[in-house]
Amino acid sequence: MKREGAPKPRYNLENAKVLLVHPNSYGMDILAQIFSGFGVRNATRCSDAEEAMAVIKKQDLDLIVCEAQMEGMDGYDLIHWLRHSKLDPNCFTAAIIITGHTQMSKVQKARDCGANFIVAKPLTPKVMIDRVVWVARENRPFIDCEAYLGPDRRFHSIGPPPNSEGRRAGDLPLEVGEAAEPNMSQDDIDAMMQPKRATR
Amino acid sequence: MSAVKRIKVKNRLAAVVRMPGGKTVSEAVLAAEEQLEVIKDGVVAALDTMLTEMTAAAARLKAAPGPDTIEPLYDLANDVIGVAGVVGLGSVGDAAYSLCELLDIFVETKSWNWAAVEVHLNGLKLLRAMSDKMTDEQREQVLDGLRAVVRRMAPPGEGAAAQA
Repeated sequence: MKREGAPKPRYNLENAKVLLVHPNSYGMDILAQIFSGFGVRNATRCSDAEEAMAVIKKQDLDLIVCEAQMEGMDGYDLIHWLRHSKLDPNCFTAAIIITGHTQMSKVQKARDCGANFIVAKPLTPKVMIDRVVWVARENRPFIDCEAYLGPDRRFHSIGPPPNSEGRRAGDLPLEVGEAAEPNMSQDDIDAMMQPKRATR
Repeated sequence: MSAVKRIKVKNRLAAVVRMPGGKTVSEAVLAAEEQLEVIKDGVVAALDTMLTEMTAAAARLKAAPGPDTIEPLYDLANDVIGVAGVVGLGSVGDAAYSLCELLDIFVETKSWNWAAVEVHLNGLKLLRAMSDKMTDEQREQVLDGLRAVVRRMAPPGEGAAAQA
């Protein structure tokens, strides 16, 4: 429960090393102005994926924001490359992709590229800061498997999709089996819940 | 079932934003909106240039319909989505989104219909030219009309998804 009158949390992006990737000058201006308003002072601007890759190889980054639609290597390919680059720590850096319309042929690519978030345009400062804060607060592990490398996409912890058995070895069956051991008594449960004084 | 490796990751951004100072969410939003105001006129000018370029790209598409002429128009419409909403012309961005949906359907289904493209271009021009004279309801009526066109062009079973 939120305490009444509690100070609102503050987020300091002044020292965040941010990479902005956008192929158009007006699109880059919009991104840069938004992040400047958030207080970011260390924003590196790149106009294509190749330029961005060069920066990623030589500079540690805290956040990458890139446009999905780019000539040649697009934003999805760039983040896919980043996740598989083994360039620690940048390969684990938070990455947000921004997109206008997503072509049907690219929906799967978008899902599987390994971005922390895909944000639909038009960009508004409110949507963007919410996503940045969300990314800064999350502690999702990375999932590394044959088809995907990136933040765990099952962040709601609701298990596999309905009516499916699940694809991961650790997925539990939908049906709960018979108990293997006798139920615990209420006294046993109470004993587990009983608060104890901490000792030094 | 696939073998999955879970990797615990240090959230570098979290460590940075926790440093003393900084802004609340509402302060950050306000400051960013002020920053956007600085470039608003330039963005509106860029949007108008894009709309002009779309007319030229559409003429090339009409003359020789195909993936090579669809792509430039799609890219321009996609650019419009990115800028229109930022300068308070969200309905222009929505119309551009509808045009992207339409052109994507043409690419996927290898079909073609000039009238459907033309009505989108006219809708875009109308929404831009009358942006401060139309009510929200009137804008929505124009957009509903464009969405209905896209639904008619969508392959069977995907009509609802096209505008979801």
